[in-house]
Amino acid sequence: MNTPGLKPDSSVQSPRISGYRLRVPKREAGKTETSVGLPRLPPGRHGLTRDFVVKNQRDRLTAGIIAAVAEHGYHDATVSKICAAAGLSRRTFYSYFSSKEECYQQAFDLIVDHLVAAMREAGGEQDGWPAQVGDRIRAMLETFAANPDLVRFAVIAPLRAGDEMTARQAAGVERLLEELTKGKQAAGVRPVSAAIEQAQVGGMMAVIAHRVETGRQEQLLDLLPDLVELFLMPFLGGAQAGTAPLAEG
Amino acid sequence: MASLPEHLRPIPAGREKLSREVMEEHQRTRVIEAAIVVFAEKGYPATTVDDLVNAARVGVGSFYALVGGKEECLVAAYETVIKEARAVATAVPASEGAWGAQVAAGLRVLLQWVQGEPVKARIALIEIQSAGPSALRLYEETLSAVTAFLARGREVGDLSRPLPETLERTTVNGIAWLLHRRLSTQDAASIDSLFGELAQLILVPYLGEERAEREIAAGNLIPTA
Repeated sequence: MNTPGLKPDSSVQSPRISGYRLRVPKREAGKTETSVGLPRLPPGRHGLTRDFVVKNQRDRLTAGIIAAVAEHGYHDATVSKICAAAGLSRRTFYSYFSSKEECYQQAFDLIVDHLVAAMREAGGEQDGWPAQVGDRIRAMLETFAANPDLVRFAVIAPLRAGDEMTARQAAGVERLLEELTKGKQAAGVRPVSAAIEQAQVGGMMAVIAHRVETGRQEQLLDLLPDLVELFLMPFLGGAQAGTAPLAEG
Repeated sequence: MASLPEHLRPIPAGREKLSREVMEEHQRTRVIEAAIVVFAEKGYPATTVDDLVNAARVGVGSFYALVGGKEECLVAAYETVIKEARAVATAVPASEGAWGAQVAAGLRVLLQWVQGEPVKARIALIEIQSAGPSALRLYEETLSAVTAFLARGREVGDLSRPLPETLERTTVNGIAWLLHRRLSTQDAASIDSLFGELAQLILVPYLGEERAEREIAAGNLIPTA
């Protein structure tokens, strides 16, 4: 099975998954087409491609935990359920991971790495920071739209699983925020405190989560203009944010 | 006929039931108050019925009879703290100030409440999210009520163009996330210092900067009951 977007490819820099790269297409500056060829993964229990799943056991377990946590929530996604989703034994699970926590953390980090890489690839530097923010948010939404289980696994589930899990999530959200705000100094926008930035990105995640929870994952990309405008508001002032080039894209 | 001595007279019908109800209500309150502390300390997922029973000093049977179970107990705890938070917010007299000033004053007293009652605030903002579907529905309802109140700004403000549909959800959930992180990292001491910038975050989209500034200043002067 040859799936576009998940094939051996050395031309782009993205997180490696056992010889396969989650392809993040390079975007040309100023291009605003909605489909940029990110992998549209076939729907299925885990939402990851078959090639990916059969490739090796560690990857299968990663896909397994994403599927199990997305379906059952973190606490009810037992190692048995993860293994059932992966089609592997508990014994195999424990040969790769010492615990469910460890498995979760590695999958979570992989997802954040991928999001950061996708955002990095997306932002055309010469367009200015507000446009870059638009490109980055678009890249994030496209990744989530291609596999909404990633939202269930990384955005929704940890919030429901207690302090430790939410703290890990917060570290991931911090990394996304860092990527989103890269270049703001040079852009000469208004200073915005760390607290407000944290509220902005937290609000954005909540809106994305709400879309998926209410069964509207197909409409994730429709959120783009709103998310861009709202994120930029404190930096640009209310009146200007709506006119940022990508807010209309 | 000589009347029976006091202690041998039949108890008037209904009275016993009433006092038992009162007693149960009292006990229930005690269980919930103890549970608020336990849930906030251990976190909902790690809390066991044993922990709750021990803290409230009731039997397991009474615990189930009084509150129903762990999840129901958290829901009851949430209802208790939200009632308190609502009382705090509605202590801002509705007769004073414009909508923006009202929002600012409400925000001010709520931030003070979160800072002063971090244990209860944890239940309202953190633990409720990990306690299952019915708890989540309640949390969503609370957020929706706040969202609806903020959305009135769309009529009050002088808007040259429509604001994003997701504005209120972004603002309310964003502030909830910020407070969640502050409470989780034991960094609640300076929460009320966020007032100015959060008030701006909420109001500027509706009112513009100058008017928001004026109404925030006015809201800061509204005395609370």
